[in-house]
Amino acid sequence: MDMDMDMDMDTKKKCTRFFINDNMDVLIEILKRLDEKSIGVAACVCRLWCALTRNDALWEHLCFRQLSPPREGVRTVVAALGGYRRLYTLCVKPVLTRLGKRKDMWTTHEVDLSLSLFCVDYYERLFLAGAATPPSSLIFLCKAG
Amino acid sequence: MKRDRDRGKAAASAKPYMWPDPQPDAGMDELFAVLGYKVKSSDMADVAEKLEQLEMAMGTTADDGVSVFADDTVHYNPSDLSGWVDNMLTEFTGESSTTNFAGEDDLRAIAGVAIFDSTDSENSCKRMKAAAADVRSEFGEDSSAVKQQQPRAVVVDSQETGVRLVHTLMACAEAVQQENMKLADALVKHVGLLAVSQIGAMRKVATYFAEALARRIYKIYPEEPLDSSLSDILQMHFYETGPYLKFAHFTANQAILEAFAGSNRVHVIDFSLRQGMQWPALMQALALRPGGPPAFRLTGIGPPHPDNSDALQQVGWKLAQLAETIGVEFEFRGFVTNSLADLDAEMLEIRAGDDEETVAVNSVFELHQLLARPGAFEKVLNSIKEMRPKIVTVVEQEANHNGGAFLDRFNESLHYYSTMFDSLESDGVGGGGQDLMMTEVYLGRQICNVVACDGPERVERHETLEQWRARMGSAGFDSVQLGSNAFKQASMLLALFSSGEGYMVEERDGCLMLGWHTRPLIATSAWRIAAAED
Repeated sequence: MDMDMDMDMDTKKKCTRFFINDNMDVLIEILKRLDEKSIGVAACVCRLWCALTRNDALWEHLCFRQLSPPREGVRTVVAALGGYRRLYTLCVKPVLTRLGKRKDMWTTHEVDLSLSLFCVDYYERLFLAGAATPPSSLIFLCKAG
Repeated sequence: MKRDRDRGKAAASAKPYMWPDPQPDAGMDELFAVLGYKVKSSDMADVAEKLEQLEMAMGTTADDGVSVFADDTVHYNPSDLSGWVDNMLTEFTGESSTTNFAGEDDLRAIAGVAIFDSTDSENSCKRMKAAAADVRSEFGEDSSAVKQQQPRAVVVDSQETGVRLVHTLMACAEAVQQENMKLADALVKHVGLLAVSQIGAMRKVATYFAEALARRIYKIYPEEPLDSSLSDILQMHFYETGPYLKFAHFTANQAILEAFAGSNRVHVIDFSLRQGMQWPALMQALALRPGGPPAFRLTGIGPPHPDNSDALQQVGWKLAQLAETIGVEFEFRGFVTNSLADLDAEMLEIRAGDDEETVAVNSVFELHQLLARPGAFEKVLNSIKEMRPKIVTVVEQEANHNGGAFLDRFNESLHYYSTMFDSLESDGVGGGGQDLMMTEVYLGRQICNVVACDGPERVERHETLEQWRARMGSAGFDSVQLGSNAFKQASMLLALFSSGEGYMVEERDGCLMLGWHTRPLIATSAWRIAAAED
């Protein structure tokens, strides 16, 4: 930026500034590669970044990045049950922490288990909608190990 | 004397520090041996307590104490400190001090040799009467004061009381079996006292068993079976604490999923729908299976509800909403019945021909109830055969609580529920103690049924996997192996529980068992109709 001041008007026209916020696709590609904590930090940068981090595609990447090819139909189901961000926070993260695994050690079994638990939680919320007590079938995941 | 008491007290209270684990064949206490008294380390607490009582009694006889000590009762073997103190106390209180001692009672009752008999102590009372008549009459109140103070022990060794608690429970059960209700009554009250000194799982188990025994002794059976909506709620709490029901659902679902491979129309018949917690996971797995989901039909069976509310339909409706959300074609039907045996395969309208559907029958903790009525189990299995299922999944408690003798059932269930309560205790359930408490009530009702009821009311007739294997085999069913996927999922599920270390999954002849440490507690098995032999 300081260099701009020093440059004269001619060169200024030739060299374009690069604002990351103007290049959202690049930004999204970068954000996709972050881990959860970094995404949280990124969300605090500005409103645009905050909105982007809420994009479910980002979280889908976080959940199933290491699994390829991605399974058909998972996206529709997960979206219907509450989205990848919710899936990650509610199931994927606790499962990974509990099982002491790094994300690159995920197999379909962990995925299946997380999805099942996610679905059970959704059903429970459906069932208890309006009830005083919140659903607690996933409480065992939230407890400190 | 006073110095000895203090030393006894000090030594006894120092015991946990100096001797962390009392050895089973503990030798004589060293400190006392130096003084010339032989006291077993294991008796220290007893001796200390008795010495206290003695001092209490003696303290109150300050004026007339001399006359008592001037008695010419002979104390044999004064180096036997315990026996000597006992003798002294006997003189004072005019009855055997051991009547107020939990330990002595139990051991006598069990040993059967010197059977605790109230007549014996009366005799000994008469013998002492002449010698201590004036003393007794004067200290009638004091001896009761002594008695009241007795529950206060110098050292509460809860490990020892725990062992006594179990012994007392078992002795009480034996008394009930022998129809010796007086003894049983006394013992059951003892259990109450002992249970209070325990904490955690042991206390809860003891309390439930004591209550159940009391019901059996006084013939106060639970009047009516619990309201089915309440019973559903209790099971829901059980679902949320501990992995047991989750394990059951996940393993059964895996077997059903594998059986449904390649079918476009599937039909699950659930023998106890309750809140339908098993089915969301299956529906989600079906939704994501390669090739797309099949048309899914669910028939849920359940007991009538008191206010005639259609609970089954409500569950069906919720499941339908879920199905629509995840894109699975769904159909639901509910059947209300008091007993599975009243059901006919025809009522279920299994579809064949063009609309042919693959059928799975699912029973979680239901089959054992059929054993309460003769012939019911066989009738239901025949109905199942008429449904022509591809797979039948059965989840049952892994225990034999259906033995012929009451004592056998009691002992078995004591071990089983102790283990179960232990596992729940260490799980340290979050989400408030309410879940855990409701789960304990849920299990407590089972305990009550096993112990207090008989005949057709005793529905908790759990049997082991081997027994079920025999029953299913003779009814014409073959075992289906639960695959490695089920095992892996189960193991993973258990690892998620904070006390995952304690739980274990075991595979036995194609069936999966979930247990706590080395004790299996529930078993999932899968069956299909045996191929007809040509």
